[in-house]
Amino acid sequence: MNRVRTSVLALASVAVLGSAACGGGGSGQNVALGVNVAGNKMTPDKLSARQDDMVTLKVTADKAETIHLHGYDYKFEMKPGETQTKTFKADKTGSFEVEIEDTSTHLGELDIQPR
Amino acid sequence: MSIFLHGFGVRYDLPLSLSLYIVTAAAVVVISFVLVAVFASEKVGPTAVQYPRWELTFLRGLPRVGWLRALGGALGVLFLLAIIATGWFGAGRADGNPAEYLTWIYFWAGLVVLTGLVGPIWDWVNPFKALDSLIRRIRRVPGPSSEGPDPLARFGIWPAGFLYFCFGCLELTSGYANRPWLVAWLAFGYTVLTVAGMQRFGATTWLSHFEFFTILFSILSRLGPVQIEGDRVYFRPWGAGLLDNWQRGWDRILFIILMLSTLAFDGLIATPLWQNVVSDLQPLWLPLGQWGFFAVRTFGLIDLTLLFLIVFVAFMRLVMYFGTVEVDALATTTVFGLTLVPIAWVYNFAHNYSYMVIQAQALFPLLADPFAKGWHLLPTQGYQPSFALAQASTVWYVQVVLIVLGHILAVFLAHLRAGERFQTARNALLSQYPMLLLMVLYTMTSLWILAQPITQGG
Repeated sequence: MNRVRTSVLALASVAVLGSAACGGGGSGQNVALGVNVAGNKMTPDKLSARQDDMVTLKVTADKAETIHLHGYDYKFEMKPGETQTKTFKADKTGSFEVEIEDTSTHLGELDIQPR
Repeated sequence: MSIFLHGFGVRYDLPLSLSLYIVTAAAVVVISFVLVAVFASEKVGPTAVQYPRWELTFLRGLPRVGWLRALGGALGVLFLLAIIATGWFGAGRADGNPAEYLTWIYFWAGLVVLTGLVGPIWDWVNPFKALDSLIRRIRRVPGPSSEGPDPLARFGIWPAGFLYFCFGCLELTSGYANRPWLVAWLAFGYTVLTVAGMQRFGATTWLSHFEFFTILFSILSRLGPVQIEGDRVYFRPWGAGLLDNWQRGWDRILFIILMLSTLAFDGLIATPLWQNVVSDLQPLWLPLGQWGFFAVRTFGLIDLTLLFLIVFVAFMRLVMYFGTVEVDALATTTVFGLTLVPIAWVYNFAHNYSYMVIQAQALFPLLADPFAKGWHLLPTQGYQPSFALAQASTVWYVQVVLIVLGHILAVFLAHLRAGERFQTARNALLSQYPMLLLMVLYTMTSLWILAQPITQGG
């Protein structure tokens, strides 16, 4: 009886959790994201793309400062009024903070959703 | 201000996907009822909480090997000294100072997880025990005899509970956990206090009443499969140690509740719900500046702790009512509190998983230059953390599997405890319905926190 109980529970658990694992797939797309940093605010402050997308991130700032994208660890050394662009493959999934490096000022996040 | 969670460190988690959240929540409910029904005819009486264990005979004698104990203690002392030294003399920024990583990730997150997975690790690496032993050797003073009355018995573990609450405030409400110099000074001060107390009253006496890390890890090590008794090492089913008896007392109940509430608060303060509460209360706390910030969070932690305590005690009243047999209410409430530990531990593991597998790696480049002096002690300067174990989908599945497993274990342990307390299978089954509801609510709360968008200011 114990083995039957254990087997039933194990199968039930696997079935339930396994059903949530279905779905996803598909290949990445080209995604262009543009942000404008004015003072301590970034517009828009929430960016998103999906895993394996080729993301082109264009950053414009009103001051000479370093804008840091965590996780991917890209730093944009900005001059006032300048625009800088970086293209990269979104191979890491998660929520990646964007901040002003020198003052650790949080600006927003880039969310990369899994496929 | 960067998102500093656990007082320190950037998070990379995405909230649980909606579909996964719903499926896991449903699984929790379904599995719970199946468990209760399937295990309805299990043991009752004292044998219900007895569990098998197997001695690892090839390790007999190992726990008393002097040099092994000394090595463990030395590692603990080195770890502590590293926190203090780098905190005092290293970089001022939290993400550039090893003290922050060693304290909040490797020790506070990592050792908690490892202890639950393995067993009494803290007992081996406790730096306070090692320092106390060293000082006694230098002074040539033996420790007080363990026989005779305990001079601190009247305090119970209230002092440890209070200090644990203070530590929780440092981590979650002070806003200063990301100051390496403060972490170092507090580590130093706490070490002095603890070792002085151990010298005065004896190591075991002080540690069992005042030292909250020792009490916390002794509770968590009950989860672990490794048990050490004297010079023997045993292997037991995971979680079985939570069925061992525990001295009754409100101090112990509140300590368990603090474990649950501090963990939950850690996740709660990063949710939009909490941010809305803080925004609504701004007219009250904003004029007070940093003190206002501290006050709103500390009262939040206290309120959550009280809420958890009231809910737990209320549900325990129902458990004992439906259990029918008259029992010692305080003792019963105390031992049932231990059955909630698996849910707290798996939530802690789930909540800190990506933090441990990604952020922990950020220590490696700092090892090359721990005091930020421009040194190159190791070739790790340019090391970049790998996300191999922490892609979002991996994190999600680790989290939900942990949550479900912890829930199953908690329900099972509570059922066994009910069998021991309430004497008959029928009484045990009836008593478990309110307990099951409490556990489902607690697990759902954990899932809900994991599914919330993570906001700035957590």
